[in-house]
Amino acid sequence: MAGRGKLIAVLGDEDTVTGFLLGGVGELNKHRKPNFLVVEKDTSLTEIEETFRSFLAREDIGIILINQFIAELIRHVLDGHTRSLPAVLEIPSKEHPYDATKDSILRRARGMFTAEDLR
Amino acid sequence: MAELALRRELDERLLHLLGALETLQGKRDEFNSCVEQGWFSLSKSRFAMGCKSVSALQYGARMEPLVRVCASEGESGQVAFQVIPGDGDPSAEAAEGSPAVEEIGPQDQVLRQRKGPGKTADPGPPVEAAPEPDSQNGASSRDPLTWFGILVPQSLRQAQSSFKEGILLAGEIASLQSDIEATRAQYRALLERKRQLLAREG
Repeated sequence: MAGRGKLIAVLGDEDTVTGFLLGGVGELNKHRKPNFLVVEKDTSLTEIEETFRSFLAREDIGIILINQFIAELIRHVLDGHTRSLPAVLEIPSKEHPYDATKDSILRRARGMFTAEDLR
Repeated sequence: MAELALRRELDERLLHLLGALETLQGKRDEFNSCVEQGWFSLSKSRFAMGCKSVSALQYGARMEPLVRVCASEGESGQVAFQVIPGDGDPSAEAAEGSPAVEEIGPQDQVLRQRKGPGKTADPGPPVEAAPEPDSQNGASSRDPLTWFGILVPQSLRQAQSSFKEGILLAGEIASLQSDIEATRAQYRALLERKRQLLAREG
Protein backbone atom coordinates (compact mmCIF):
# COMPACT_ATOMS: atom_id res chain seq x y z
CA MET A 1 0.00 0.00 0.00
CA ALA A 2 2.78 2.40 0.92
CA GLY A 3 4.49 1.74 -2.39
CA ARG A 4 1.35 2.67 -4.34
CA GLY A 5 0.86 5.92 -2.44
CA LYS A 6 -1.80 6.98 -0.02
CA LEU A 7 -5.38 8.10 -0.49
CA ILE A 8 -6.98 11.52 -0.23
CA ALA A 9 -10.05 11.48 2.00
CA VAL A 10 -12.86 14.06 1.77
CA LEU A 11 -15.33 15.16 4.40
CA GLY A 12 -17.69 17.82 3.16
CA ASP A 13 -20.95 18.93 1.65
CA GLU A 14 -22.39 17.21 -1.40
CA ASP A 15 -20.85 19.50 -4.02
CA THR A 16 -17.39 19.41 -2.49
CA VAL A 17 -17.38 15.62 -2.20
CA THR A 18 -18.89 15.15 -5.68
CA GLY A 19 -16.25 17.45 -7.17
CA PHE A 20 -13.30 15.71 -5.57
CA LEU A 21 -14.71 12.28 -6.42
CA LEU A 22 -14.98 13.45 -10.04
CA GLY A 23 -11.31 14.36 -9.70
CA GLY A 24 -10.64 10.72 -8.88
CA VAL A 25 -9.94 10.55 -5.15
CA GLY A 26 -12.76 8.13 -4.26
CA GLU A 27 -12.19 4.57 -3.12
CA LEU A 28 -14.41 1.84 -1.77
CA ASN A 29 -12.11 -0.73 -0.22
CA LYS A 30 -12.62 -4.48 0.17
CA HIS A 31 -14.90 -3.93 3.14
CA ARG A 32 -16.90 -1.37 1.08
CA LYS A 33 -15.61 1.34 3.38
CA PRO A 34 -15.42 4.72 1.60
CA ASN A 35 -12.75 7.38 2.02
CA PHE A 36 -15.36 10.16 1.94
CA LEU A 37 -18.41 11.39 3.83
CA VAL A 38 -21.16 13.59 2.45
CA VAL A 39 -22.33 15.77 5.32
CA GLU A 40 -25.99 16.64 5.02
CA LYS A 41 -28.39 18.51 7.26
CA ASP A 42 -29.33 15.36 9.14
CA THR A 43 -25.77 14.04 9.59
CA SER A 44 -25.06 13.86 13.30
CA LEU A 45 -22.03 15.38 14.95
CA THR A 46 -21.10 11.96 16.33
CA GLU A 47 -21.01 10.49 12.86
CA ILE A 48 -18.82 13.32 11.58
CA GLU A 49 -16.43 12.97 14.52
CA GLU A 50 -16.25 9.19 14.27
CA THR A 51 -15.62 9.31 10.52
CA PHE A 52 -12.90 11.92 10.96
CA ARG A 53 -11.25 9.88 13.71
CA SER A 54 -11.42 6.76 11.54
CA PHE A 55 -9.73 8.66 8.70
CA LEU A 56 -7.01 9.80 11.12
CA ALA A 57 -6.47 6.20 12.21
CA ARG A 58 -6.28 4.75 8.69
CA GLU A 59 -2.76 4.02 7.50
CA ASP A 60 -3.67 4.33 3.84
CA ILE A 61 -4.84 7.96 4.03
CA GLY A 62 -2.29 10.71 3.40
CA ILE A 63 -4.42 13.85 3.19
CA ILE A 64 -7.84 14.65 4.65
CA LEU A 65 -9.80 17.46 3.00
CA ILE A 66 -12.48 18.87 5.27
CA ASN A 67 -14.84 21.79 4.78
CA GLN A 68 -13.96 24.50 7.27
CA PHE A 69 -17.52 24.80 8.61
CA ILE A 70 -17.43 21.07 9.43
CA ALA A 71 -13.96 21.43 10.94
CA GLU A 72 -15.42 24.10 13.22
CA LEU A 73 -17.87 21.52 14.60
CA ILE A 74 -15.07 19.15 15.60
CA ARG A 75 -12.34 21.72 16.25
CA HIS A 76 -11.19 19.93 19.42
CA VAL A 77 -10.34 16.82 17.36
CA LEU A 78 -8.42 18.83 14.75
CA ASP A 79 -6.48 20.72 17.41
CA GLY A 80 -5.57 17.43 19.06
CA HIS A 81 -4.09 16.06 15.84
CA THR A 82 -0.44 17.09 15.78
CA ARG A 83 1.08 14.29 13.67
CA SER A 84 2.25 15.19 10.19
CA LEU A 85 0.41 12.21 8.66
CA PRO A 86 -2.32 12.36 7.60
CA ALA A 87 -2.25 16.07 6.75
CA VAL A 88 -5.53 17.86 7.39
CA LEU A 89 -6.54 20.61 4.96
CA GLU A 90 -9.40 22.92 5.79
CA ILE A 91 -11.13 23.95 2.60
CA PRO A 92 -13.98 26.35 1.82
CA SER A 93 -17.50 25.24 1.04
CA LYS A 94 -20.06 26.82 -1.27
CA GLU A 95 -21.78 28.67 1.51
CA HIS A 96 -18.85 29.29 3.83
CA PRO A 97 -15.73 30.95 2.39
CA TYR A 98 -12.32 30.02 3.74
CA ASP A 99 -11.30 32.00 6.82
CA ALA A 100 -7.57 31.84 7.57
CA THR A 101 -8.07 33.00 11.15
CA LYS A 102 -9.96 29.77 11.93
CA ASP A 103 -7.41 27.40 10.36
CA SER A 104 -5.71 25.18 12.97
CA ILE A 105 -2.27 25.33 11.30
CA LEU A 106 -2.29 29.11 10.91
CA ARG A 107 -3.60 29.65 14.44
CA ARG A 108 -0.73 27.55 15.76
CA ALA A 109 1.76 29.53 13.67
CA ARG A 110 0.30 32.80 14.89
CA GLY A 111 0.37 31.66 18.49
CA MET A 112 4.12 31.01 18.45
CA PHE A 113 4.98 34.69 18.75
CA THR A 114 4.67 36.39 22.07
CA ALA A 115 6.00 39.81 23.00
CA GLU A 116 8.55 38.17 25.28
CA ASP A 117 9.88 35.90 22.52
CA LEU A 118 10.58 38.79 20.18
CA ARG A 119 12.71 40.72 22.69
CA MET B 1 29.52 33.96 20.21
CA ALA B 2 27.16 31.00 20.64
CA GLU B 3 24.34 33.42 21.30
CA LEU B 4 25.06 35.29 18.08
CA ALA B 5 24.98 32.08 16.05
CA LEU B 6 21.74 31.09 17.78
CA ARG B 7 20.18 34.46 17.01
CA ARG B 8 21.22 34.15 13.37
CA GLU B 9 19.71 30.67 13.16
CA LEU B 10 16.51 31.94 14.77
CA ASP B 11 16.30 34.73 12.19
CA GLU B 12 16.83 32.26 9.36
CA ARG B 13 14.06 29.97 10.65
CA LEU B 14 11.75 32.93 11.06
CA LEU B 15 12.41 34.17 7.53
CA HIS B 16 11.85 30.66 6.18
CA LEU B 17 8.57 30.45 8.10
CA LEU B 18 7.34 33.80 6.80
CA GLY B 19 8.29 32.82 3.25
CA ALA B 20 6.40 29.53 3.59
CA LEU B 21 3.36 31.35 5.00
CA GLU B 22 3.37 33.73 2.05
CA THR B 23 3.62 30.86 -0.44
CA LEU B 24 0.83 29.05 1.42
CA GLN B 25 -1.43 32.06 1.11
CA GLY B 26 -0.82 32.22 -2.64
CA LYS B 27 -1.49 28.49 -3.09
CA ARG B 28 -4.61 28.75 -0.92
CA ASP B 29 -5.97 31.51 -3.16
CA GLU B 30 -5.28 29.39 -6.26
CA PHE B 31 -6.90 26.35 -4.64
CA ASN B 32 -9.98 28.31 -3.58
CA SER B 33 -10.50 29.75 -7.05
CA CYS B 34 -10.11 26.26 -8.61
CA VAL B 35 -12.71 24.79 -6.26
CA GLU B 36 -15.07 27.74 -6.82
CA GLN B 37 -14.75 27.27 -10.59
CA GLY B 38 -15.49 23.56 -10.06
CA TRP B 39 -18.68 24.29 -8.12
CA PHE B 40 -19.79 26.75 -10.77
CA SER B 41 -19.28 24.12 -13.49
CA LEU B 42 -21.14 21.54 -11.37
CA SER B 43 -24.07 23.96 -11.04
CA LYS B 44 -24.06 24.49 -14.81
CA SER B 45 -24.16 20.71 -15.29
CA ARG B 46 -27.10 20.50 -12.91
CA PHE B 47 -28.88 23.15 -14.92
CA ALA B 48 -28.27 21.17 -18.12
CA MET B 49 -28.92 17.65 -16.81
CA GLY B 50 -31.51 18.22 -14.11
CA CYS B 51 -31.24 18.78 -10.39
CA LYS B 52 -31.09 15.14 -9.32
CA SER B 53 -28.69 14.08 -12.07
CA VAL B 54 -25.60 15.41 -10.33
CA SER B 55 -25.84 14.23 -6.76
CA ALA B 56 -24.47 11.66 -4.33
CA LEU B 57 -27.09 9.18 -5.59
CA GLN B 58 -25.15 8.83 -8.86
CA TYR B 59 -21.87 7.72 -7.26
CA GLY B 60 -20.58 4.45 -8.68
CA ALA B 61 -20.92 1.17 -6.80
CA ARG B 62 -17.24 0.49 -7.49
CA MET B 63 -14.60 3.13 -6.90
CA GLU B 64 -10.89 3.02 -7.49
CA PRO B 65 -8.69 6.02 -6.83
CA LEU B 66 -7.29 7.69 -9.95
CA VAL B 67 -4.90 9.78 -7.85
CA ARG B 68 -2.81 8.97 -4.84
CA VAL B 69 -0.30 10.88 -2.74
CA CYS B 70 3.27 9.88 -2.02
CA ALA B 71 4.44 11.12 1.36
CA SER B 72 8.18 11.33 1.97
CA GLU B 73 9.61 12.56 5.24
CA GLY B 74 12.51 15.03 5.14
CA GLU B 75 15.47 15.34 7.51
CA SER B 76 13.90 18.04 9.66
CA GLY B 77 10.64 16.15 10.10
CA GLN B 78 8.57 17.85 7.41
CA VAL B 79 6.61 15.64 5.03
CA ALA B 80 6.54 16.32 1.28
CA PHE B 81 3.34 15.22 -0.46
CA GLN B 82 3.36 14.47 -4.15
CA VAL B 83 0.17 13.71 -6.05
CA ILE B 84 0.66 10.80 -8.43
CA PRO B 85 -1.74 9.00 -10.79
CA GLY B 86 -3.24 5.91 -9.15
CA ASP B 87 -3.43 2.38 -10.60
CA GLY B 88 -6.89 3.02 -12.04
CA ASP B 89 -6.05 6.21 -13.93
CA PRO B 90 -7.48 5.84 -17.46
CA SER B 91 -5.05 8.35 -18.97
CA ALA B 92 -2.06 6.53 -17.46
CA GLU B 93 -3.38 3.18 -18.67
CA ALA B 94 -3.98 4.56 -22.15
CA ALA B 95 -0.38 5.76 -22.22
CA GLU B 96 0.82 2.35 -21.04
CA GLY B 97 -1.40 0.62 -23.61
CA SER B 98 -0.02 2.37 -26.68
CA PRO B 99 3.33 0.51 -26.91
CA ALA B 100 1.47 -2.82 -26.59
CA VAL B 101 -0.44 -2.06 -29.79
CA GLU B 102 2.83 -1.49 -31.60
CA GLU B 103 4.18 -4.82 -30.38
CA ILE B 104 1.18 -6.71 -31.74
CA GLY B 105 1.58 -5.27 -35.26
CA PRO B 106 4.72 -7.21 -36.34
CA GLN B 107 3.33 -10.49 -34.92
CA ASP B 108 0.24 -10.17 -37.14
CA GLN B 109 2.46 -9.58 -40.18
CA VAL B 110 4.44 -12.73 -39.44
CA LEU B 111 1.20 -14.70 -39.22
CA ARG B 112 -0.02 -13.35 -42.57
CA GLN B 113 3.19 -14.42 -44.31
CA ARG B 114 2.81 -18.06 -43.26
CA LYS B 115 2.34 -20.35 -46.23
CA GLY B 116 1.34 -23.68 -44.75
CA PRO B 117 -2.40 -23.68 -44.02
CA GLY B 118 -2.12 -27.01 -42.23
CA LYS B 119 0.00 -25.56 -39.43
CA THR B 120 -1.79 -24.92 -36.19
CA ALA B 121 -2.13 -21.25 -35.38
CA ASP B 122 -0.22 -19.95 -32.42
CA PRO B 123 -2.82 -19.36 -29.70
CA GLY B 124 -0.64 -16.64 -28.16
CA PRO B 125 -1.61 -13.53 -30.16
CA PRO B 126 -5.43 -13.84 -29.90
CA VAL B 127 -5.17 -14.39 -26.16
CA GLU B 128 -2.93 -11.37 -25.81
CA ALA B 129 -5.02 -9.24 -28.13
CA ALA B 130 -8.32 -10.10 -26.47
CA PRO B 131 -7.81 -8.32 -23.14
CA GLU B 132 -6.84 -5.07 -24.86
CA PRO B 133 -10.34 -3.72 -25.57
CA ASP B 134 -11.49 -4.97 -22.18
CA SER B 135 -8.79 -3.07 -20.37
CA GLN B 136 -9.62 0.07 -22.35
CA ASN B 137 -13.31 -0.32 -21.54
CA GLY B 138 -12.42 -0.95 -17.92
CA ALA B 139 -10.28 2.18 -17.80
CA SER B 140 -13.04 4.33 -19.26
CA SER B 141 -15.66 2.80 -16.95
CA ARG B 142 -13.48 3.73 -13.98
CA ASP B 143 -13.67 7.39 -15.00
CA PRO B 144 -16.08 8.99 -12.50
CA LEU B 145 -17.67 10.99 -15.33
CA THR B 146 -19.45 7.81 -16.44
CA TRP B 147 -21.45 7.75 -13.17
CA PHE B 148 -23.40 10.69 -14.50
CA GLY B 149 -24.05 9.30 -17.97
CA ILE B 150 -22.27 8.53 -21.21
CA LEU B 151 -22.81 11.83 -22.99
CA VAL B 152 -22.16 14.28 -20.19
CA PRO B 153 -22.18 18.05 -20.77
CA GLN B 154 -18.92 19.91 -21.29
CA SER B 155 -19.43 21.75 -17.99
CA LEU B 156 -19.11 18.47 -16.08
CA ARG B 157 -15.77 17.81 -17.81
CA GLN B 158 -14.72 21.35 -16.87
CA ALA B 159 -15.72 20.67 -13.25
CA GLN B 160 -13.60 17.50 -13.31
CA SER B 161 -10.53 19.31 -14.61
CA SER B 162 -10.99 22.13 -12.04
CA PHE B 163 -11.11 19.63 -9.20
CA LYS B 164 -8.16 17.68 -10.62
CA GLU B 165 -6.16 20.90 -10.55
CA GLY B 166 -7.39 21.47 -7.01
CA ILE B 167 -6.12 18.03 -5.97
CA LEU B 168 -2.63 18.84 -7.27
CA LEU B 169 -2.69 22.10 -5.32
CA ALA B 170 -3.93 20.27 -2.21
CA GLY B 171 -0.72 18.19 -2.30
CA GLU B 172 1.39 21.34 -2.46
CA ILE B 173 -0.59 22.97 0.37
CA ALA B 174 -0.21 19.86 2.55
CA SER B 175 3.59 19.97 1.98
CA LEU B 176 3.71 23.66 2.89
CA GLN B 177 1.62 23.09 6.02
CA SER B 178 3.97 20.33 7.11
CA ASP B 179 6.97 22.57 6.44
CA ILE B 180 5.40 25.32 8.56
CA GLU B 181 4.75 22.90 11.43
CA ALA B 182 8.32 21.55 11.29
CA THR B 183 9.80 25.08 11.16
CA ARG B 184 7.61 26.11 14.08
CA ALA B 185 8.92 23.20 16.15
CA GLN B 186 12.52 24.05 15.22
CA TYR B 187 11.96 27.70 16.11
CA ARG B 188 10.51 26.80 19.51
CA ALA B 189 13.45 24.51 20.24
CA LEU B 190 15.97 27.21 19.27
CA LEU B 191 14.12 29.77 21.37
CA GLU B 192 14.27 27.43 24.36
CA ARG B 193 18.02 26.99 23.84
CA LYS B 194 18.44 30.76 23.69
CA ARG B 195 16.51 31.18 26.95
CA GLN B 196 18.69 28.60 28.69
CA LEU B 197 21.83 30.29 27.37
CA LEU B 198 20.71 33.71 28.54
CA ALA B 199 19.76 32.31 31.96
CA ARG B 200 23.22 30.73 32.31
CA GLU B 201 24.98 33.95 31.29
CA GLY B 202 22.75 36.33 33.21
